[in-house]
Amino acid sequence: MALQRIYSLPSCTLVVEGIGSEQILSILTNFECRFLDAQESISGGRNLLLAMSEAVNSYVQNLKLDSINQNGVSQPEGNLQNQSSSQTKTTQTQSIQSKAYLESVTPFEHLLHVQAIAEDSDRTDLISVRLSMVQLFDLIESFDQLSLDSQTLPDLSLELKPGQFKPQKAAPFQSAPILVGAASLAIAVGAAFVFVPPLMKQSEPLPNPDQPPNSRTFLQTKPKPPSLSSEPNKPESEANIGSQITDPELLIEIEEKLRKNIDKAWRNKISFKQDLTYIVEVDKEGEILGFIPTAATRAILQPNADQKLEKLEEELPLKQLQQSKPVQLSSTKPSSDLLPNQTDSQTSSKLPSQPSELSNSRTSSRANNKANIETDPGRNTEGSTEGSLGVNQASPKIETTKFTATFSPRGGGKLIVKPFIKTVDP
Amino acid sequence: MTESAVLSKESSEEIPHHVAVSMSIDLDNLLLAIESIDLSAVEVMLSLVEQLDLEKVIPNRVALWRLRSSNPLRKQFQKLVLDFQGAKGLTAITAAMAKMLSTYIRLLVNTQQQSYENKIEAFGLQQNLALVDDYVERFYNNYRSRMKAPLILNPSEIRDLARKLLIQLLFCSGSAGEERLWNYLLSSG
Repeated sequence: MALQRIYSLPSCTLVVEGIGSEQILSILTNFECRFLDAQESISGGRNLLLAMSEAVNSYVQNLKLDSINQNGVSQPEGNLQNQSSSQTKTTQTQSIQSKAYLESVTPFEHLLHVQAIAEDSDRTDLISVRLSMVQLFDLIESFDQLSLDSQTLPDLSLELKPGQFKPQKAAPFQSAPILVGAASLAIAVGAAFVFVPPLMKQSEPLPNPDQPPNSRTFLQTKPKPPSLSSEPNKPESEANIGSQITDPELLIEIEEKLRKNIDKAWRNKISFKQDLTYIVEVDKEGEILGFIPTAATRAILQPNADQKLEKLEEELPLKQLQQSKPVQLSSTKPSSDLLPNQTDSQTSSKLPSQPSELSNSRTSSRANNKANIETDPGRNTEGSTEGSLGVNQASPKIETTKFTATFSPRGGGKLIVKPFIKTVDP
Repeated sequence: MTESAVLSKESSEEIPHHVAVSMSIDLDNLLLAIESIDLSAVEVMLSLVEQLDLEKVIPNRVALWRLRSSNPLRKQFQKLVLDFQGAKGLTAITAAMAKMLSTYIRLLVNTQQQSYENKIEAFGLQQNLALVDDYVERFYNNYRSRMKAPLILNPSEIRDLARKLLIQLLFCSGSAGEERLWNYLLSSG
């Protein structure tokens, strides 16, 4: 079925034509981009669309606004300095068939060059369109609307790559060494991660990009963090649990979800007097996979920390939340009923006394619970250890991340959830 | 048991999860520009909090003020750092405000361009130019009254900043404005 979508903005109209079914335009045959007061319109196929979208995106991201100043009267049009700097911000995107790039003429005027090579001949169309600032915005907005539209080319998505770090205003020439330094730091950090055991890799969440790299913290090469190594029962199969969630947007979403969940579930009377902090590992859905008190919290509770922690587990909502999800899963799994206490002790292994083999098998089976049930429900009855380990190798990894949840008795109970960042325990 | 503590004291375990100082400055400047466009912007921002589901980050007027006061250039600089949630919240509010004001922002940007290209007289658009000048002067006054003396910018730099912010606001008024702004803030750190 032929479909047409029109994204109409005051000064730019993007018409997308293609074929698809059920109102979802999935194959693009042609697109046309018309500007309000320009003669030329740009049309082409998917390659050109992608090239244009990428070129416009990166051009706008690196748009320098420093040259915008006092009403242009005194400003000679397109002065020399301006021209030279515009060369550097030219963005060129090459694909096999089509090219698109932008350059700035004046601070307010942009020139979009598009080179579309017709697929059936050697004919090359070279089109240049002058865009005002508002037209440039409309162009990028029409692409944004297209990529956010789930009914049109659902495989296109808005991809914003973080731009280059802009040079500091005060010291334009110092930025290069800083960047080199940052790069080498990044390499050093990467190298540090290579040599530490998987556990360390797991518990070191990628700092959000806005977090300035802190060499003292991230270059810690201590193989085992004290807070976790104090646990006798380190899960060996941690690697199976998969990789870190790194998408900052997603992380915020998860954090918010986790906070809401814990907050909602925390209704018991508060029996403790100090702040208690737990490291909580969660999956993409914000479901708690495991939790563990920090070493500092453990220290607060001495003596008899284990007993007290067990009591606190009843009081705090973490355990309850952790179990709320797998309950339905365990009903299809007789084997897990045999070990009610360990239903969910995996990654963080909150019960120090339990044998590690069991925890491992639970870990891996948990990692594949979903896959097991979807693919072959009957298999689980054979025994979780065998079944899960068998599937384990082929199954996709679960992405996880860690947060710290601090329960504070002050003010009638206060909950603080933060992304977990490893520091050296005092 | 809500976490009222965007700005809570971090426990000894963690590094405070804060954002770069330049981000507080950028966000505060953008909000100042919005205030200079729309005089009742703060009220609108507060009414947006609920729509954007930001009650936890910005429960009240004071919280909004405190978040903005993480800009170290402010007179009433609070010695606190803007944390991730707070920065996200301010970003969402900025983008939503820019979206609401987009028609006017477009007009101002267009007029700036026409003025740059010396077309104002020819087209008889002096009225529009007056709107831009009003905005720039309001921004200048707002900036001078909120920021610590001595100001790090001289008067003409402040006016240039006002014009620059207008274009930034234009680009975050789109449907993916929040993402674009966030991306910009991360890259400019």
